[in-house]
Amino acid sequence: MIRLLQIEFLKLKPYKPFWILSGLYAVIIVGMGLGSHGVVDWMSEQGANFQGILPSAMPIFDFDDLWQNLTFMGRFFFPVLAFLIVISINNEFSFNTMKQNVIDGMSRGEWLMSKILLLLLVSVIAGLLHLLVGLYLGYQYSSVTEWDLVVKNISFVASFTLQLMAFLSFGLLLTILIRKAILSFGILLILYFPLELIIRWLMPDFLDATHQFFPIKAILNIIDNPFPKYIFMDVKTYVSTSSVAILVAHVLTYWGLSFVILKKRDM
Amino acid sequence: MSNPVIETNGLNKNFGRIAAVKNLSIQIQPGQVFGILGPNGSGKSTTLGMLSGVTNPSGGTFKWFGQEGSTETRKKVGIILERPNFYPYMSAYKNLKVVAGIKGLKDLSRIDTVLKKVDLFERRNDRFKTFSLGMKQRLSIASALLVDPEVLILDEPTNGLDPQGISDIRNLIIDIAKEGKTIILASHLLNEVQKVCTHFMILKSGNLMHIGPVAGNEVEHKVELAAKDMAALKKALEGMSFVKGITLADDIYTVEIDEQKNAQDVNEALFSMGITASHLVQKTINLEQKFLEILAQP
Repeated sequence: MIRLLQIEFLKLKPYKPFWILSGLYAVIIVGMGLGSHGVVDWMSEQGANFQGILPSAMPIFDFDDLWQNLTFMGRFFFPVLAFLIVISINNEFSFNTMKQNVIDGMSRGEWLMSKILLLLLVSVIAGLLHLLVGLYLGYQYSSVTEWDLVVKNISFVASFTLQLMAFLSFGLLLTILIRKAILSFGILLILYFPLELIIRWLMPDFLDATHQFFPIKAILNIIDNPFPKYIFMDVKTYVSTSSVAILVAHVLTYWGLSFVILKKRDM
Repeated sequence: MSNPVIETNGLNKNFGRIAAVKNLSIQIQPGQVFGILGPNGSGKSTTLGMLSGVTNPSGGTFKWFGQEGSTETRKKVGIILERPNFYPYMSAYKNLKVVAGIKGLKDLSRIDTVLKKVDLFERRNDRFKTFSLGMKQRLSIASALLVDPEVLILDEPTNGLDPQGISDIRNLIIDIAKEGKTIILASHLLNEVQKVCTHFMILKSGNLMHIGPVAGNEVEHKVELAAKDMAALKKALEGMSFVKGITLADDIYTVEIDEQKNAQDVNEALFSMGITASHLVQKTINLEQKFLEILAQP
């Protein structure tokens, strides 16, 4: 395990795009932490209101609401990390270096494992970043800072990490399948944003029945959009065991399919 | 007797309906410099791909050092397939560090040793993408030599190189062979195989056409002769005990002689009889003719 991560680190350390995109992502998330309160105030000053309620009047930054709000917003920056993962893994195909790794004595399974470990590491670091940003925002703006409220629902950060891991694993599968960085990333983005909207428009009933099994939906489903609750709509404010189970099943399927494809393919 | 370096048993590979390698059973012994000859598309690279773990065989088995091929055996051998594959944004040194990591090589001073061997030490901190094709190919060889392997596999190592590059690589291979390492070399260049190999096989459309030592194939014992007085020459030749046959074509006699004798012996014998040859050539039939002969078989 450690050996595989060390090899992965040797490959990525001199690869500038990896560090530029990582830096960009960190700047975005930290920026979100520092700037989001200002944005909410600004929206209120501009007269934005939701059914008569000003955004600044909503307890968006209060513990324990904060954790779901923050990790829900976190999903919008997944594409940055997905792009980073897709291009650095696709390099191994475009440079033919995966083939060389195998020739040099790495098994296909070890190669896949080194990439999975990379995804895990990236997801955990992104999760930690959100944890730090959440603690900063909460202690800065929350009207309540009792410890039991701070840690209540802090598990959203763990769910977020699992969600990101699943999204990146889906990206890994697409990259291994397609072996073209731009195409893989494009398909990932289309699946991430508009495809489900199109299906909803064409076949709303079909979508309602099967929606939770769609790859990206299953991934996003784990954390619901919390904001409608501030205009008194009913939203799920917890992580359901079934959505975690579906997500874990998806992750294992993506890894399994990736392994089967790599194993069967002649390089 | 020690195990063969490689032993294949009925090895097969089909790409769809096309059979790229058919029922290949060969043995390669330690210390051999083994050439794999064949026209493009004859199955050379496919065979080496299977032995290297990148191509899944459709049938049959192969053994390395008497054991099933595995990642462990691949770590102990040096393999270069087709073109050099490295991370273009990384320096020569860092690229070899990745290889060392994969092969579990602890002693990183080996990297400097092999870079010196292929004459890339001065360029070790330059990025791979700045290298010429010849330098890239030399880095491949450095990478293959990293673990000081007993066996080296090279697929078309001089492909696309300029004459200087070809000669550099060839000398490197000859040097490595002198260290007693087993080398398996696929090529469609016959004189390359003839210059460096001890054994060879010929593949054609995935079939094994010939396997055996190079020695004995490169020379057939014939000498071409002419002189001012052709009649006297003929008479003298007929009197020599080691001459087995004489044929005349274009005013030149082609003489078949004993295996132990050569053109010098013929010349000395003629000289002692007072005949001076105006034309004297030892005729060698090289691998190329042998190769074309074998390929012409149905």
